[in-house]
Amino acid sequence: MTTTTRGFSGRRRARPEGNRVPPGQFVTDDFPVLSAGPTPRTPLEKWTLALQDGGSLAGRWTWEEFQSLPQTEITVDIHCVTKWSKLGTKWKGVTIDHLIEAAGLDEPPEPYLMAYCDGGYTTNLPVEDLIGGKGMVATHYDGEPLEPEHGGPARLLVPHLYFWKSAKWVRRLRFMEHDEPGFWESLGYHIYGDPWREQRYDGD
Amino acid sequence: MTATEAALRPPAGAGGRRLAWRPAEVVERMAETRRATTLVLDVPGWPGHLAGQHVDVRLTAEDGYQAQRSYSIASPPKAPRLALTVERLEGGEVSPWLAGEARPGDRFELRGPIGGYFTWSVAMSRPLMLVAGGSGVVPLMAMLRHRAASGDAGRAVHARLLYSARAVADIIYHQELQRLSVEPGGPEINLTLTRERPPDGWQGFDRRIDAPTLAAAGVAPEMDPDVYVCGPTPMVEAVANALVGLGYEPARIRTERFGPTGEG
Amino acid sequence: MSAEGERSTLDGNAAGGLLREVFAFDATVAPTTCVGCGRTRPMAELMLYAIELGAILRCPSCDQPVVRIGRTSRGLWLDLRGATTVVAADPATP
Repeated sequence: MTTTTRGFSGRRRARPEGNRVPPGQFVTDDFPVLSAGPTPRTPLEKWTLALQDGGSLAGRWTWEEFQSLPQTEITVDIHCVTKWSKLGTKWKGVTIDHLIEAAGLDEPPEPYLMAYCDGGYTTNLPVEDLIGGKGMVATHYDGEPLEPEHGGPARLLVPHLYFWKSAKWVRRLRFMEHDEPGFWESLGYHIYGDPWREQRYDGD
Repeated sequence: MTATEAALRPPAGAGGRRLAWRPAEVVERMAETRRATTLVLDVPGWPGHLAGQHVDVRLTAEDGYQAQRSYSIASPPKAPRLALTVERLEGGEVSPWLAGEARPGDRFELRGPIGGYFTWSVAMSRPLMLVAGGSGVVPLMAMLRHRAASGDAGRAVHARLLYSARAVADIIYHQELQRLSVEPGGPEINLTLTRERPPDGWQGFDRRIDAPTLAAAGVAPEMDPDVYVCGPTPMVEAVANALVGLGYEPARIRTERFGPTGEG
Repeated sequence: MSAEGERSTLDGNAAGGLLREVFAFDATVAPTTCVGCGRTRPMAELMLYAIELGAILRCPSCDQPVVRIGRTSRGLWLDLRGATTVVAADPATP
């Protein structure tokens, strides 16, 4: 038995007309912060991004080198598994396509990828969800350098999947032959996380 | 089984050890400060609690949307009604309803009591040192009320509260604290203001709680007090570190942090 | 209190209700030993993150996730790899 509370509607109640927002999601104008640990603050001079093929290093960029890679701007809607969606967010960064190219690879060597982050967070993704312009390592949000609490200096951005897949503070991307669960995927969250099929939890 | 353990056990027929969500009805609301409100609740079947414990509150919208947060219990263990004091957080989701909208007759759900760590009972008998920041005073007030309601056993426990607030108008339970402090055997109350310049005749401190404030207003470490620190995270950490530096026994320092999370 | 909009990291006290869904005892008082640094403290003293998704309780000394709980529509997923031991004792009588 649940008691309905008079006059309480909650904060995230707006659901726009049409099909712009996935099922079960509500639109927010805020940018809620959700972290599994303290916010790391890696100085840019110590920051690197590594691309790893199994056990071997395929590419590695310092912050300066990363800035010289082709930059892409996108405007996308993002969807958090906690049921907020944020519309029309503007990002800038380097697409996974450009990273693979910059590493001198003709094509992705393996079908899956694990993202590793400062603070120990991980998340797994199929590579086909990252290439073809679908994923990037983002360093700017809304025209400004990405703030640490939102994943700065750099986060993964895979907007067509639930936002826990867009790992904050990303430092290493490892290609792998078989899919493996990351941090939340090991705790009952969905291995793939498609918001349009409402794949929030294992078994959805 | 001690009284403490008895109080922590759910009543017979509660359906196992899991905490049940219970309907709660607002009986009375009292404005404490411009941002804090006390709600007095009727909770059928409430099993009783210890001073310092909290409850989880769950609000349900008509379309089924739910939001849940934790709030400290302000009432002492044997009070006839459960009371929560809630501070409204800007941009929050649950606290604006509880502190602003809730009226007598309104209903929501809660579960509890929760938490055996940040609890105190007069049976512990050692001197009691309480350090509060902002609405962190709420669970500590439950302890002082419990002490005041315990007669000679309460008066036998030497007690001091050091409480920091932004401004005089933000001091929750101000009159009650003053009243308690002048009662025979009452606790010693020290206030400090962190944002507002103190008014003329101010008897308290006018700085954030630091080692010198604790040394001046605390129970001396040689008296081996039980120490309870509750407030926003930076305040709790600063105070806990200062206490250890002053020689307080770390195992007797209990801390509870609270404040807005990312989603308010 | 914290400035408006500022975030606070809570501690294991705030996970007490969730922990009571997982454990048959009050885990907030349970001495819990961190795999990372070997220190033992009650779960109430661990730092709490991600309460929106479950709870990640981290060691305040070394940041190791000691207790991980994922809240799903089909139940709570508990990962205790970060704890060498959890002692389910009656609360110590001080």
